[in-house]
Amino acid sequence: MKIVVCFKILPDYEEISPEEWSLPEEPDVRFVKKNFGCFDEAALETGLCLKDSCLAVREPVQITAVSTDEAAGAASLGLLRNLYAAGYDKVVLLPPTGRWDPAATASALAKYLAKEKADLILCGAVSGPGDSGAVPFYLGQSLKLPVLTEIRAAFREAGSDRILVRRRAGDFSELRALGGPAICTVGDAEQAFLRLFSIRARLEAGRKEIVREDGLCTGAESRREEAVILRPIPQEASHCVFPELKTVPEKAAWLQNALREAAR
Amino acid sequence: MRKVFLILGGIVPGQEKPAFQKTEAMLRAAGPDTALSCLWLDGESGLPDLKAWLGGKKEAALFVYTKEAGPRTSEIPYPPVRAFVEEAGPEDLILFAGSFHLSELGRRLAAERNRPVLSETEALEEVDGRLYAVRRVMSTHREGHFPAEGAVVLTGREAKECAYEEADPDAVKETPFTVLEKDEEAFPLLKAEKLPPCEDLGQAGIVFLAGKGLGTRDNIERLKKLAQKWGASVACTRPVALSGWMDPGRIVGISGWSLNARLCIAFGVSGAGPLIRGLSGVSRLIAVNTDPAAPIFRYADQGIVEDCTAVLEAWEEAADQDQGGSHVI
Repeated sequence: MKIVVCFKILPDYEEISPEEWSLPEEPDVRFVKKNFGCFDEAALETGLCLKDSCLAVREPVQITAVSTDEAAGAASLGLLRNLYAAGYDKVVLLPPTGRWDPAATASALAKYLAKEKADLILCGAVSGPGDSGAVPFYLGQSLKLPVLTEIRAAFREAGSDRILVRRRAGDFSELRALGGPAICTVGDAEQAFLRLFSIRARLEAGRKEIVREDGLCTGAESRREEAVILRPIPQEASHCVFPELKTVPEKAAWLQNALREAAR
Repeated sequence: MRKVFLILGGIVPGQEKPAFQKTEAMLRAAGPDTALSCLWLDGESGLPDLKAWLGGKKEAALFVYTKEAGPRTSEIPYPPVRAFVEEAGPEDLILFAGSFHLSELGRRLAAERNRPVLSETEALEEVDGRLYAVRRVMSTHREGHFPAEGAVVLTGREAKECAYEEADPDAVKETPFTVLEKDEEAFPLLKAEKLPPCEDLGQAGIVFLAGKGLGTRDNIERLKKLAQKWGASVACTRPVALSGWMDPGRIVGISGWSLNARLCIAFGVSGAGPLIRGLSGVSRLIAVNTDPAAPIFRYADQGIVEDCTAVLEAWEEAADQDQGGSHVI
């Protein structure tokens, strides 16, 4: 069984001050702390949970994490090695494909994945709140694989060789089976954070190499338009009033009074 | 002449007019000479309102698709969407407005048709004869303008609304849209359970918004009990839901609910950009946080710098002293 999880590393935009965001120039994010995209982190952990359930029935399984990430430079190497410590067998970096170009990202990933022939490809539903969420669909189109969205968990069915997924579809909670190789996007997962690991596992991970597939993805098909315009959003001056209250009971009573006013 | 293929579906009954108002704002930006072709996927539900809206359009064709009886889930089938845009030219705009699942069909369509997809679009704008989709990027901290012609545009929750004049619904002729093709079933459904109905947080008058600064799952439970006692609704930030402390169906922000409460008290909420997008409709926002520099105070009307646990304890004492046992407020 081969599982591949596609992920992205993003700067923590909340660490940048509102004053910096209000400038016309784009903030310099090179030294801002990096994290896995929140849904990608859920996909990474969902993949590991599936690996666990395969190993529980002694099924051989290989799990790979892959990214075409411009943010995954030297500063993110520690983050990438954490994937080895958490249980990934291989961590692969493809050349960056640029921002707001999901078609190019999917094209690069597809070239790698066509070679890997995974049984299951997992992706985060979107890189971050409000993002396009287009990569899994472009990937599905390129690889001719069906896409199932918003899964919450994936596991090996006891007593069979099927992979089952739990997902939320509108007002319904569903249990579905994967009929063959497929792409699944992970939304609000049951396990949303990458698992903790021991210091020993992390030290061992430090000796493992991040695999770079630089030659594979040249000529990725881009559909990016040159005309994307970015504008700062005017920041309103804060109008927050801090009532002059000293003790906790005073503050609690003031809040309760606000509730009374709203309830009228 | 610009041509727009509009796909509407999965709209909560009773919420049709706001959906049309958002679409109206988009279409006005596309210009008065736009030819509109509309596919309605919600059957009879909301159809008179749709026709009253479309009646005011210069050139509009309406196709109505009625779902087969006995749907297992609330998902919208893909084949009618694919069939509807069969004749869309490479520069024609394909606009989706409706449920989350409709947006997913938009992404699928974009991939199949090799078109860009512009999700969470808040407005369309014409600049120098070119149409741009305006959407928030970089975790909502920047506004991005993306070329929209030939793209699949997915209407965002925060899209601007625009009033329209209703016309005679009977003046609009509807054409039944029939598609015999079935979607491939790559993922056999083994079990589907209807989830308990989720409270409409968009309509809640008083909301307690739980942030990770509440510290523990236990504190969330305490807040829920107080909310129940005092007639407030409880919502949460994404980190709270990701920690498994609350149901993801109660997340507020760009990927969840937009609140329109008279009063929202945010407990231990730092104020990340995507969350703030869901608070723009709140009349009075009070933030409780230990960090006076927390971004939430930039958006709050009033702020209390205090540990949330201490406030909860004081509230619990007040609730215990309440002789009636309920509705201290």
